[in-house]
Amino acid sequence: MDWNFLFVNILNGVVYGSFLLLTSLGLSLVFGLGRVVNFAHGAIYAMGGYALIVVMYGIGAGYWLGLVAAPLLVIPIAMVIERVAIRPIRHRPDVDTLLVTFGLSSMIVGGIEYVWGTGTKLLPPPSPFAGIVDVFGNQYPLYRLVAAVVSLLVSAGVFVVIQFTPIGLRIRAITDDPGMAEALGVNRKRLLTLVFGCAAGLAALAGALGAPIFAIHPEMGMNILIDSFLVVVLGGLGSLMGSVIGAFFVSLTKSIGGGYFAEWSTAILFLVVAVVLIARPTGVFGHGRVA
Amino acid sequence: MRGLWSVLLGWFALVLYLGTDSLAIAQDAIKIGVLTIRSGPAKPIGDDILAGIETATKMHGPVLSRPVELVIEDSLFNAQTAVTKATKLVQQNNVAGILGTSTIEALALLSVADRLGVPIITSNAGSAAITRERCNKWVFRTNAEDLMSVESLQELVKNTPRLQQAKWFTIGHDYPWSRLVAGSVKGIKDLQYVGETFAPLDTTDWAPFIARARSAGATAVIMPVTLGVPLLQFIQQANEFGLTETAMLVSPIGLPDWLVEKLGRTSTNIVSAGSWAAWRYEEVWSATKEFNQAFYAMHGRVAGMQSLQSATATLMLYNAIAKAGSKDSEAVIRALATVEVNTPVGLLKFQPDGRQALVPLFLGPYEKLDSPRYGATYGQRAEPFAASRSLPKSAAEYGCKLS
Amino acid sequence: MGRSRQIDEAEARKRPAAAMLVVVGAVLLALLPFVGVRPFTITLLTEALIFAIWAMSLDLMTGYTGMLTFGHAAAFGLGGYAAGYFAREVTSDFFTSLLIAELVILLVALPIGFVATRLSGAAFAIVSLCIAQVFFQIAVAWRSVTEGMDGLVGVPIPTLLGMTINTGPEFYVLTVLIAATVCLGLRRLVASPFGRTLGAIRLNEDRAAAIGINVRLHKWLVFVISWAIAGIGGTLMVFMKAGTTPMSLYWIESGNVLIMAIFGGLGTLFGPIIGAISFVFLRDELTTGFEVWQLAFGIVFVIVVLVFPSGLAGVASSAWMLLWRARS
Repeated sequence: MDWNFLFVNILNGVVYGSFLLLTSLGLSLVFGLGRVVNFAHGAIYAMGGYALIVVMYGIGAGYWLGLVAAPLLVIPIAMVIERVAIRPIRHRPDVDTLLVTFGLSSMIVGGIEYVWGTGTKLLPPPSPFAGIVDVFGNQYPLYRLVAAVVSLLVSAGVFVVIQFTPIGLRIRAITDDPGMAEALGVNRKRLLTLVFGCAAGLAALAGALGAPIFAIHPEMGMNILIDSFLVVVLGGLGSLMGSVIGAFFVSLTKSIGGGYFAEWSTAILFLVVAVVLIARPTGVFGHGRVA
Repeated sequence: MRGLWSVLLGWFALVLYLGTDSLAIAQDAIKIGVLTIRSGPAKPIGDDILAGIETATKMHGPVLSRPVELVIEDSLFNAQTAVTKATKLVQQNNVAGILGTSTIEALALLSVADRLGVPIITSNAGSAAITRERCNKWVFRTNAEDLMSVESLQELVKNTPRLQQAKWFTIGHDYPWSRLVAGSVKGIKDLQYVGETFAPLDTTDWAPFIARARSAGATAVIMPVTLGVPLLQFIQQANEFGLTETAMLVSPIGLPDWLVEKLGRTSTNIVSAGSWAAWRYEEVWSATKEFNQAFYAMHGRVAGMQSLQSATATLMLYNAIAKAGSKDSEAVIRALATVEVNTPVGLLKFQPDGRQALVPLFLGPYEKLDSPRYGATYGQRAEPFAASRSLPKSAAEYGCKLS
Repeated sequence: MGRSRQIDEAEARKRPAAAMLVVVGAVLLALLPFVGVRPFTITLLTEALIFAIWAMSLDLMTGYTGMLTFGHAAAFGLGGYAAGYFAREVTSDFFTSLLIAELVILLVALPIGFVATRLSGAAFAIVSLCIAQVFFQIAVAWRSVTEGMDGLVGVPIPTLLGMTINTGPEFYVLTVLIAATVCLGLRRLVASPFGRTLGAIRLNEDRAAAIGINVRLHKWLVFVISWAIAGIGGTLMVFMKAGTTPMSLYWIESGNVLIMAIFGGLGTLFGPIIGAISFVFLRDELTTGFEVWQLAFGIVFVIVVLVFPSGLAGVASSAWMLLWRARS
């Protein structure tokens, strides 16, 4: 039994899981609050990567500044998108928002291709963290660890906001009982726009964080989008704790699966998710919200 | 009754909109179809293919005293779309031939080639079956096929002591091609093979697979990974994990030059087991040099192997049409079977009674150039490995029976 | 996915006339190659009608019964592989190949449907996606039969009662006939008591169960029927393209058929037909020499969804009502 090999795969899983968590939290929040299945989430992830390029090569800023600026650039754009394309059709059946976000995804990816071309842009990891470190006898890229830590810190921040702040209270109220919350004076529409924007910010941050590892290209968000959907449904729609469990479950399955089962890894992931859902249709922490 | 009238009205409108088949007006230009990837992650490959065809067309000039018009269709890198678009090229545009295809499109068109009835020359498809057991009189190929690459890989190993003593590992995508490559390494006598791993089609995180290679102690990693974004991501991540320090990377069919430039110094850790074309062949072959210059003038970058190859296919087609004296498809394929053309990969002709070009493979490491040429700072040394050393003597010997 | 009761009842009244319209429409469509319409347009229409069959089967599941699925490529692709493999290895007879494909689909859809229909809503949608991706992986891995990522190649031209059905007008007419049959059959099905029950299930599963409907059984049957019809489409497609690849099972294809059905208008059966035709023609137009097709497609898509709530079928029926308003 090669413990080192297992360890490295677990570590990989944790790293990818932390990215997945960022995107899944956003997806879960947006669904829990507004019943919106946001297919454009992957495109927004990509926007984060390209926003990073804009800041770094347009203004000549360093990576860390770019990392902070990228989500800040994307959030207002996402809020405008929500206001213009999603809010007007909220009252319509759920499929419509699903379709609109799908169309938006095409538009955003197409727009990125139009402006920057379809070529891939490589980004080296920022210099203090560009090397390899020794983790219990295994060589591991330092930047991956750093990115994972940043993601986890930000995710923890999201939890803190949701659990302990007034605005978090409002979000939880709307998630639990929209009608009652509105009756109590919560401005649902504005809150939804704000949350949509922040969720986009999380996805954009994930995109920018991942750029030095996964490179920047227009379709960079598609894979993580699918994984995020698996996470959110697995964890239970609207459940943030479920997203945490789901994210690491999916990423570890992919990682360990990749290490031990190679080409079968994604099939195993899908099979496992299917089995879990069949056993527990509302997800691990589902609040009975299935349809 | 109302409904009936509506339907009839709708039908007439539909017919008018769809357009009826107008009498064909004698067109001045000869139309040549280009079916390749024009969108999505693999677009850079399609860009190179198209650029090569455009350059060759410009260099060659008129065919049968008529200007050439390239009709470009996006295959969406999808077999089913490729069939539809090829049908469009033939039915709507009456093309004299179809260029530009890669493996996916070529395999798809193979099944419908008889229905299409025009010459199809692929320059970017590796699957050996296309010109072996599945050969078809309409489908020609100018690049080397995967079984030829097996021979050039053996030559590479023979000439490189470091590779002979290395512990070999295969990391690739889950394509039949990848397993063929792995098989070819395993088939080399006295070579240490320590493992293989194949990744699912849409892998973006290569970490688990790189870890597998590391844990097996690999010092030579051959990488049948899809050319384009995946290969770039793989090499970058391999670099990240320090794999490029501890192992030599072997590319089964070579790298596109835009990839080489992006990798920069990292590319010097990579060696090609037989590229389908190499621009540095200009150091011995003048046709390559002329092409490189024309390409650089037209596109502002160095000609990558997809461009050199697609240009080769283009020249074969144009010369065949000229030899046939008409664009009649049957006449053109008869001409293609016998024509011999001076191309950027050498003096080329197709194997008698076969559809595979007797094309060399190019071995050699990626090196930093003494001084930049055509905008490139790195380039592969081009040592040709003759087709005669990698192809059986006759087409029948490798399973191609053309009726 | 809502249709008002008034439209339901109006549709019920229009039923016999509508059936005749389908027949007449089919005949007129079938005549197109013979009145001089361009060959490639016929090719595109053939492809569109095959997708229409697939989209109609999706409409049965999603539009009428409310079971949203992200994995409908599984049924289509499976039908294609089964029919194509059989046609290449045994006989190129169309109906025999179709029969085999349907048998394979039944063998697969019955157990899978039984398990999957335990779920509803998002869970069902995601599980369908998972099933399709597993099928994809099997198609890639089972190289001895499916030839992996290279795909099934060299499926012969189909024959029917000894007659060869060449691609072109012959295959097109066959496709029109089959599409019309499917359309009529489905219309009959959704108008029947069984079909009426589906509407109740779509609106509220719990309430439907409360009034005594065996929801599980109905969903299971719909699942299997939907897969079976999709399989017809898959069979036609594999013959048209003389082959198939694992990509026909990929989630992008499932997305495409969903777009066609929803874009066209769910719960109408005509909608998916319009959606499929629009999708095929739009995509072809936008991908010819035009490199920003994703952007253009996305823009068109978003505008249509924002402006036309019930999909294109909604546009059509609004236009219909406007056109004939004076005469009503």
